[in-house]
Amino acid sequence: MSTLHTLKKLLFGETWLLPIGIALVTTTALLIRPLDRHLWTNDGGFILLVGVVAVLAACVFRTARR
Amino acid sequence: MTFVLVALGAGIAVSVELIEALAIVLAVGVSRRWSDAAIGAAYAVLACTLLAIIVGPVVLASVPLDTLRVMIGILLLLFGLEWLRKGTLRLAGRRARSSSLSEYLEAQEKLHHAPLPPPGQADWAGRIVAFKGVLLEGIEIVLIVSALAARPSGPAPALVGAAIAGIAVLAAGAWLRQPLTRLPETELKWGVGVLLSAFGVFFAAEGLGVHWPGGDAAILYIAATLGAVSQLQAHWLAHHAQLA
Repeated sequence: MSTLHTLKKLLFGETWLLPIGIALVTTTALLIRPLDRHLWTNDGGFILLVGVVAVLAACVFRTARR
Repeated sequence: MTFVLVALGAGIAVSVELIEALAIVLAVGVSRRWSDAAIGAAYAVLACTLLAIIVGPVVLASVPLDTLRVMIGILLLLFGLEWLRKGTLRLAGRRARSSSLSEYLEAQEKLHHAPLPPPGQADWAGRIVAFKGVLLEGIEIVLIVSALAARPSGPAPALVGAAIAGIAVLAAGAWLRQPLTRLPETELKWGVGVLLSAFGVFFAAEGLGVHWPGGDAAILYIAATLGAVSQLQAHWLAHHAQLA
């Protein structure tokens, strides 16, 4: 059991907020992309970066409070 | 430039993981028997090699390029952001600093109560502790190196970085026969977190059809942004901890 728990921690980390956040950012990117292909091609990377920064900030603040 | 960055990312990630695995094997060797520590570690290396064969050529080669980039990006983000989160908390003093010495002492403590069998008989407790330690760190190495090696430009930089790191850490471990206590592990892990997260954002965006301004150089400004945000958070948390 402890090995399985360690493997789960290894893949998904210590907080569920992180994989859920990454899934949300990726899903949002997939939804935004078809709305304006030109905008996405040029600026989509920065939109993704902002999302990832927000996930990092949220995870750090959430786990710092524990 | 991308060659150097990928090699550096793979090299540091492999070094940090190998140091942790080495600390456990050294703990078994010093407190029990070197032969059992080596046998446990060798079985774990074999298991990781099999995993690398499955994850690398078989799975990665059968997925379309753009889907593969998104998958690699997400995998690198899962690892990178977790390392970066922990690194930020450590720099802010909200979490204990990373130390292979503590892994070493923890492994010795685990074996403290198990009696050592007479010479000629297998020391299963020692072998299992060495096997488990190397296997768990090894899986992480396989996943990170496979993700970095699956780039369209080829696996060379990731494999070169991993090989150099592997040789350096194993040579240092064999020579010193003790955990590498003087390494700034917390800062190294934070740096790996920044690099892996930057690669993750870069690959995921490319897989989703983004053209980065500056091409491969985008990895640098993505890494700088993530590093700056993490440092700001660490300072903010440390400052507020002092006020509280």
